Parts: sequence; structure tokens; C-alpha cells
Amino acid sequence: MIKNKPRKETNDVETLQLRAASINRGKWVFQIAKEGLKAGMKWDDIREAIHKAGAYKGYNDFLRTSDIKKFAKAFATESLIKTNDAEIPVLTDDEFVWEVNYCPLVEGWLEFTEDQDFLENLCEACMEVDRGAMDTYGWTLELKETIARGDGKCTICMRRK
Amino acid sequence: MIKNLPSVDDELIVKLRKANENRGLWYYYLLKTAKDKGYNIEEFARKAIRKVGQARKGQYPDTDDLKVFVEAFMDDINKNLFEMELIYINDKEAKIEFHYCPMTGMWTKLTEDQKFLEQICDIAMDVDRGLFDEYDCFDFVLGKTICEGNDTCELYIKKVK
Repeated sequence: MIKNKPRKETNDVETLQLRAASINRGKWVFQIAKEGLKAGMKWDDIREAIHKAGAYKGYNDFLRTSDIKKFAKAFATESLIKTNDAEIPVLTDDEFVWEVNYCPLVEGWLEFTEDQDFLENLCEACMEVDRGAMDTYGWTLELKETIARGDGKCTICMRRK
Repeated sequence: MIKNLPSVDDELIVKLRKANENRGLWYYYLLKTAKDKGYNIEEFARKAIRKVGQARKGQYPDTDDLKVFVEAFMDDINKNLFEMELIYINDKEAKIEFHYCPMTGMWTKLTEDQKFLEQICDIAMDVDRGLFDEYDCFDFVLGKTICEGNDTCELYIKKVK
């Protein structure tokens, strides 16, 4: 059973608007993946596409630095923390752990399906956006828990090699 | 040459613009990767985006009054995000122009392939065609677009019943 309710900022206009924008992105990605797979695409094709989007973000949206602490501070904007009801439980010279308690993409997907396998595959594919970004720094990403798998939160560990 | 410069600098709109550009980024790479691998995006992506549009009906009023619908379609957020201008409205037809498109804002950072830009723009507009599938009383016609090199995107909403 997927638990995906934001605990905070449930009345904050800006946060609600930003969540709505991400829910919308989730719906677009969901339907493109669903119809793409029906047309013969493989999950690997979808992962590859989202990986490329992540690489773009790594090179163009995120702070270019070899310092993972500086990266984390620039990545975790106040808006993003509020949108994803997120926390940073670990931040060292080598590791940045990003814990997400609410995923707007998953909220969008649940409007279309309860197919657990599909949700988990789509979540995995979408995480390629962060893997793609991490590749541009030469860092690794480990996904420990996910909301889509029913863990109640996503724990994303980004590490320097 | 595509001209597509935003003029609204409200803090929330700037953040939402970025969120919509991000949707444009994911959408671009999903369609580009699919096309490059030989999948027919005209077939599957149109179907996908149309479904997203059809699912948006719940966000709009259940009305056959063109003025009521247009008011909802041009709410404050959308109006500022897409820099919408109501050119005219009467009992039978409304014409709205968009002066800025955040998705195009992203796509033009990624490619100069005019043919592909026009194709993915028209497929993305299936989101509105899908919404209007759900209204028996309104028809939607897309006129000129920013992606084609025009100053604005023209949207016509016609009362048919």
C-alpha cells in the first residue's frame, strides 16, 4: 500500500502550485511511458531518455562543484524541500542523503493506476533523472527506499566515489 | 526564428515557469529518444498526451457557458505563466493568445530542428484537444504558434451547442 501524503505545507499556496506542476509532469511521463511501452518501447528506452534529461540538469541546472556539501545546499532549495516534504538526514564530505516524504509524481500516477509493478518500474525509470545528473559529477546514487514501493519515503544516497 | 521571451517576473510565476520548463525537458527527451529509436511518436505520444488532457476535465467547470469556461481556463496562474491575452470573446467564440510558452523555452535550448520542434509542439497541444474532447459544447482550434516562428500562440474556443 502506497503512503504518499505531505505532512507539511498543505495550505501554502506556492507549495501547492509547485506540487501541482510536478503532478502534471508525472501525468505526462506516465502516459508517455504507458503508450510508449504499448507501441514497443522498452523500459530501458524510457530510462535512457530520462537519464539524458538528468544529464542536462546536471550540466545546466545544478551547481557545478566537486564539493558535495555545496552541491546539496544548492540542490535543496527551500521550494524543493517544501514541495517534496524533504529532509537531509546525512550530509558529510562524501555523502548527501536526500529523504523525500512526498512525491508529486506518484500522486499523479495514482490517478491513473494501482498497478504496483508498473508504478515501481516507472519510479525506477524516473530516478534516472538523478542518476543522469550524478554521472555528470562522477558521483553515485543509491536508492534505498521508495514511496512507490510502499516504504513511506524515498531515501536517496548520493556519494562521492 | 523562434521568439519566446517571458516578461512576467513575479516570484511564483518564475518558479512555475521553471517547473514547466522541466516538464518540457522530460517530454523532449522521451519523444526524441523514442523517435531516434524508430518508434512512431505521432501514434503513441499523441494518444498519451490526449489522455492527459482528457483527465484534466475535473479541474475545469462543468459548464456550457463559454465565458465561465474561459474564466477558468485563464485563471491568474495560467494567465501569467503563459502570458495569456484574451483577444475577444462573444457568445460563439473566444480567441486567446499566449505570448510565452515555457515548454518551447526549454526545447529551444535543446535543439534547432525546426521540424521536430513543430512536431512536439503540436503533439503537446493534444493536451488541450484532449480537454475539449470532454466538452460536447465546445470546439478547440489551434491557430498560429510560437514554435512556428509566430509572436504568439492562437487558441480559438468555439461554442458548438
